Amino acid sequence: MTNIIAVSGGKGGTGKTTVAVNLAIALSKKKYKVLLVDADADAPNVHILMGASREKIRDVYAFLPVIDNEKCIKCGECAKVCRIHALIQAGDHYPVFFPEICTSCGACALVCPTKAISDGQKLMGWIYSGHAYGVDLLMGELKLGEASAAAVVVELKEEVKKIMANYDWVIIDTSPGVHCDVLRAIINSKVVLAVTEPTPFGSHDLKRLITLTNVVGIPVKIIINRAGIVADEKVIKKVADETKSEIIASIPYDDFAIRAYANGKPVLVEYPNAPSSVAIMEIANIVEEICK
Amino acid sequence: MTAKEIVIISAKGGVGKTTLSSSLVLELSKHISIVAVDTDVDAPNLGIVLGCNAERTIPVQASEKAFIDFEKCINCGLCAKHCKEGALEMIDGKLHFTYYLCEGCGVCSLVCPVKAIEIKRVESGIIKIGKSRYGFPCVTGELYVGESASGHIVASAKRFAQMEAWKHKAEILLIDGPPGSSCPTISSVTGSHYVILVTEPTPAALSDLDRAVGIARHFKIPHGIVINKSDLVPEFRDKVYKYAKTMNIEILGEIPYDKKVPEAIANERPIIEYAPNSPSAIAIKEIGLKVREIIIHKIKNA
Repeated sequence: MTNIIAVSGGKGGTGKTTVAVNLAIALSKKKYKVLLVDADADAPNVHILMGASREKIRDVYAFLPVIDNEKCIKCGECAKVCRIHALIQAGDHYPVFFPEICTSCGACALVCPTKAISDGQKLMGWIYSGHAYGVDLLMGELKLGEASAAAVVVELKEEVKKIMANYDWVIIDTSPGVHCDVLRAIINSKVVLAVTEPTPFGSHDLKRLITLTNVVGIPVKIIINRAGIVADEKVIKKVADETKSEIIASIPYDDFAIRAYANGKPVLVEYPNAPSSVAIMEIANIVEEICK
Repeated sequence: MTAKEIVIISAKGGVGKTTLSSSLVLELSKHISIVAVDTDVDAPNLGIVLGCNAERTIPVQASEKAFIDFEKCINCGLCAKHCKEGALEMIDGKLHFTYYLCEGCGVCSLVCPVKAIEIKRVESGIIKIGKSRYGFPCVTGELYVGESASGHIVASAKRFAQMEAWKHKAEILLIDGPPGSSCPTISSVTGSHYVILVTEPTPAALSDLDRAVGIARHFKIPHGIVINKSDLVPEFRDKVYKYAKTMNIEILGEIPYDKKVPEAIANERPIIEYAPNSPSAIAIKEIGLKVREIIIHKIKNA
């Protein structure tokens, strides 16, 4: 049985990727087969923290309507079903298309009575694979300037479905926030590890994340990162109590972690005895226990 | 006359956007009439530091969703086949709908043979309008959890902020933006007059900085860099400088790593108020001077 675990947190920069990368390595040290997935397509960093090279396995395309004016009868049906008005048609004119607001839903092609609309295939991003420190990597990246990472995340999750049987663990690193692409990334996972920091920002955004995970009924386990940067952690404990979520670990603020991060090396590899490395190994034990 | 918009972004999260913007807006408010705006609609935190109240809250109906009449549904699976968002799935011969994955494109309602699906407009977020504890107006956009219309909420927040600016005769909107480089970032940057890119000297932040620069360039908005926690990794500080030089981008200033900053956040105060003589507060005040110059020489005449 493959265990799928998502690493999220709400707030940006709390250490999601650091935890995901080091946890993946910790599990691989325990002789498991591990796949680490970078689903933060609009700021992908897993390969950077792993110091790994990426190999493109495929392009991700989304539907882009291309209208054949020879076939178009200017009936306006396409514009009528385009709910965001990326297609507009008036009088005896051909439909006008605004590509920057098109969400690639394909409704226009579906209703066109003369099949004048075909798929021009808009490039949305890429899926990459890689390997480092005993961990297989699967990574998505959104093409710069594109607004929605949905197509990339959907494609990434499809790829995970195909290959997950080869692994004991799949760790999914999500983007910050509480939007639908975070939901897409965490869906079907057994547990969400919420990495947060002991500040009012951390607790505010953590609470929003837990609301999101409740929607899909995935349990949350809280990890406090950079513990000790402020005197106490009661802001996080309060959220944990209110939402009945367990705090499973605290990773201390650790200069070794920063040094390793700056060198593009996981702290667990560079400084296996550093306080944060010890904490991560312990998290691997806890996660193993949770998913038993 | 609309107010000019200065947006603070960073593709990477947690590099210090709100730390910089909360203090910067407070510093600038001593010299010019300003509105603080939070467009990090997923994780709006500026109001926490500035002590913003919500005198008015305005729900925004920015998205549409499918509503399924399961009494009419014959579980034919056609809608699931056409749903690009994965919101509709057939599980054991039954239609299953995940509301939060639906983007309301309406394809399902088009293909449904029994007309069991209706598309309806729904509330996707809220705009909070009020004042900070320092007196200047603040406007916060907040996306409801799991929603998809972040760009629309950002655009609404900016529109309401412009109205506040008009009411209070403010010249500048200082916008605390979201992380990432997708919809809410693009929406925050669109139509703005200057972009402040916050980064920190680490490999991941440098890679993400390049994405943020890409966004600013794509929309042809003038921009400058602030290096936060600048002494964290000296080699990478040099790399940020090298990058800025190659890309011909001005470095507006550096903020040293300062243990007073997390303390200020814990106390929900801008660092320039909480510890005005701390190294980071002094650095931000200097950046404030630079930004005022930019406002006078570059933005006002734009």
